[in-house]
Amino acid sequence: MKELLFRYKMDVSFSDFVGGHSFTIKCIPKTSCRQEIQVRKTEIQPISWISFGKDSFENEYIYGKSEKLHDNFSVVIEGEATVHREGMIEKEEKTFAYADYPTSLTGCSDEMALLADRYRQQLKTDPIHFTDYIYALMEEIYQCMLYVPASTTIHTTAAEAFAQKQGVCQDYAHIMLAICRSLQIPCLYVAGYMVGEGASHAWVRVLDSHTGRSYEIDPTNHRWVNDEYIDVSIGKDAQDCKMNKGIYKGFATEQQEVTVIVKERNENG
Amino acid sequence: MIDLLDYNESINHLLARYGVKFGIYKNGTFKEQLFPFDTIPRIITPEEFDELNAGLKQRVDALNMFIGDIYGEKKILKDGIIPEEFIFSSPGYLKECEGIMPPHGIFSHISGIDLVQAKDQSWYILEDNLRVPSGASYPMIARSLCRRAAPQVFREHKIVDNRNYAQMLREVMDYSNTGGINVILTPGRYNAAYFEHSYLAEQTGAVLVNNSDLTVKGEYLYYKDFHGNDVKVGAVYRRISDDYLDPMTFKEESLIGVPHIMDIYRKGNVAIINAPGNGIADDKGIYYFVPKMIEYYLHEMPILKNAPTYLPFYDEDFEYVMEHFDKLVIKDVAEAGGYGVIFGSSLSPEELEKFKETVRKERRRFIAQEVIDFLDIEIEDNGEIVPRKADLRAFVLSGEETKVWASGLTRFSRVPDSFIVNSSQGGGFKDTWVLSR
Amino acid sequence: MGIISLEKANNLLWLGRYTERVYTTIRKFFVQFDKMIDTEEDQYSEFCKKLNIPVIYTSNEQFAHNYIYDRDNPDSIISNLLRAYDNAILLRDEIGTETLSYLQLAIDKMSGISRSKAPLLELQNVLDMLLAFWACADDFIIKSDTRNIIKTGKSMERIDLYLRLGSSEIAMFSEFEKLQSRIRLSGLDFSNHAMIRLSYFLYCEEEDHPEIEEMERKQNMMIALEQILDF
Repeated sequence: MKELLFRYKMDVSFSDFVGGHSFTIKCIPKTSCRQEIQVRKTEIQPISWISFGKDSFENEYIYGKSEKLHDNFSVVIEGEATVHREGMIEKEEKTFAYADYPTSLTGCSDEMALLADRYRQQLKTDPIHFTDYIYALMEEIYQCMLYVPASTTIHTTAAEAFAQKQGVCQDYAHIMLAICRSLQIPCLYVAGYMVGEGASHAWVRVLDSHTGRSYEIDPTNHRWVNDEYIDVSIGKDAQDCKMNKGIYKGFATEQQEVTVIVKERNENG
Repeated sequence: MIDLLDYNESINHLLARYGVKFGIYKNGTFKEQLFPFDTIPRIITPEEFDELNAGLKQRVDALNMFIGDIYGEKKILKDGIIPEEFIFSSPGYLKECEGIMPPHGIFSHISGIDLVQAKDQSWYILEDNLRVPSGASYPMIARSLCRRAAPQVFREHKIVDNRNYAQMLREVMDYSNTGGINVILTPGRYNAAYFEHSYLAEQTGAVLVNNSDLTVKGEYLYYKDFHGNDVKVGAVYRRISDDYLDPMTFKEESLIGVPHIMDIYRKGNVAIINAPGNGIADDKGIYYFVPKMIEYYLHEMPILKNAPTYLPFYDEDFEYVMEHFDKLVIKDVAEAGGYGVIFGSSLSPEELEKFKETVRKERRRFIAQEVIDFLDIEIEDNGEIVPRKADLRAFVLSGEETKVWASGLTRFSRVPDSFIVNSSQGGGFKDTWVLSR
Repeated sequence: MGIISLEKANNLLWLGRYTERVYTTIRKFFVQFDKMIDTEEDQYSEFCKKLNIPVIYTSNEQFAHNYIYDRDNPDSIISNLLRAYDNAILLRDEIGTETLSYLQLAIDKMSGISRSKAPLLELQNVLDMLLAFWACADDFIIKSDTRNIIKTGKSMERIDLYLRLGSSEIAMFSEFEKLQSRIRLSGLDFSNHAMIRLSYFLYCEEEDHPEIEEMERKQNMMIALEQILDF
């Protein structure tokens, strides 16, 4: 168990003034059996109005609009998290309902299918060692991929990223999801924060149907998810977990900067 | 013989006067064309209509229960009636609609069910259209104009009045309305069915709006009047597809949608007619399962028949399809509007082999149907009466009750022996008379 | 018939303006055409100058044809009629299918007659359709604001055309009175200041203000007219 402090900050600067700006922000962690969250600060600027919603995965989000002309848009979320990561014994089949069907971003290429095939038999005959196989699969993905910032976009599919053997955390997660799904393992995309300073992160949650336990694994960092990770949202792929979406009127180019800082509370005193 | 042939000229003159048109894009430019009208009506007897009425109600009720089940408890999947794969790998299934229960549990408010009559007089369902079915306005206005041009024909024959469609539609909008005005959302003048959008707005008293007239503020949807006052909207009869409905939830590049409408719809603060996500039930692959749905949800035997259909997805059906390929009509489940329909008999031997291979590779993508021996109906073509293929789009409206409109859009092919009746491909339309007792 | 958005209010106003433009220019064209029957060429230049449209015509005959029927000429009568229709087609739920049909008929009349030797006979049919359109609008449109926005457009356009093409003072005063009452009933936000300016120049007698040239007076009125509404 760890006590963490987190801070999410997003700044969008526009090259020219824009107006009628609709936004949806999905970057606020919520309390679950994995973590307790206390949000200390929520700041969105500028706004005409905001409201709160809950999507089909029960992720909470803020939506709103900024009507007046502006050339800057910023979001700051700060809070404290108590993260438990032991056990993972949860009844959450509902969340995983039909999560073993590929989405448009998580289909397998032939090459990925071959990789998956090597696990198929073992998973069937030796379900007790489910976690070992998941770990081994994650390790294989980790080994053949190279982490290259900006080598893919948010629209890159798992198959495309795997073909070029390059990508970022979203692609690692998509590849893992695609292979798990081809093995009929229910699994979800998780967007969240991890200890350190940088951008937001993404990993994978898988369900062991034999035991009903679920596990989170981080193929980008080659490890199981522990109490240094804060879940923000879940979905079938990255599309469901986009932390911010916006459309506006105006002919501007935008530059977005996201900084996530997560640190242990005692470091801070 | 009942016909209006002698009044052909005056009726067509009236149709032109009232601008009964549909839009079409030819070589990239937009054109409005008069929708060719044939004066010889399709006639449905009271006995026939009784059967259609009962069968269509039953079908649409089951389809509505099915959509609610899919986005809710999914009992039909758990009970193994429909393989999960047909739902979750269908482009018609929208995960964004998971868990949403629209006002009164109605998903398909306006259902356009396409039927054909076979030579043995029996009716077959060809297709269900539960997203944005269009076409009701044409027989509505054609009937008024025929009555004006040829009153004695309508005096001599007892025909059920079909001009209550607007009233029926209004009742449906009012019933689902969550508080506020009714609006009809059109993508604009350059849409193929713009005539219908504006005509239905006029006839129902709903306000015809573009997306720019609507805005979500907080919990509700508003329409802005020219003084700048916000007027709350309770029901949106949208004539744009799901993909373009809300750029914050679906296609971000949509310029015809209403940002955040899905956020408030999910909360039950506005009715969207028809509900987003209905595509899951009018998928050509799901069509095969509709008779099973009727048994499953209503515990009744289906009154109306499907055309005999095979799903290559099932091994047994696959074998049959491969053996009888040249006798079947193969449909791509993802296409609509008469596209992606291929008659096995029309293919050369090489094409046939090639196409078989495609089906073998993508078994989920196609369905195969026996070619129904259509009962040809008569049309007038340059002064001659000739037989042509035709279908019937019946409109079923679901509000407080499910009602079948005692009319429908009969579309016919103007090309001899062609089965393609779509207006976008040159077809015309007829009025559909349901005789009263 | 529902609540009108700003966009629809704009369409209603321009529907009024374009139908009036077609109606009054056809009537003025009658006079012009009559003159051209037995006078020398180039009679039309003056007419074009008054309307402030480019003189792109080559002969009386060519003018008579092109100015009426040429869809590629943005200043032709048919082009203005099509613009009226483009606004009307967006307003079926406000003005009604019946009202709309008279514009469709006017277009059909124009389209059927493009090589007539006696165009005035057919143009008379177009005028009839426009008069029926207005009567229908008056009769079928229940809501007073909707009706009066169209009529506001009509009055504004008529004043503009009268200023350009000339008319009797009585006709002008009468139209200005109509504009004042219509704009109030329309519920549109309008500039009172521009209205006062317009009335000042309209009613000022030449002997009161000899320093104001006739041309200048007209110019000032046209400017004030365009400033009444600001969409």
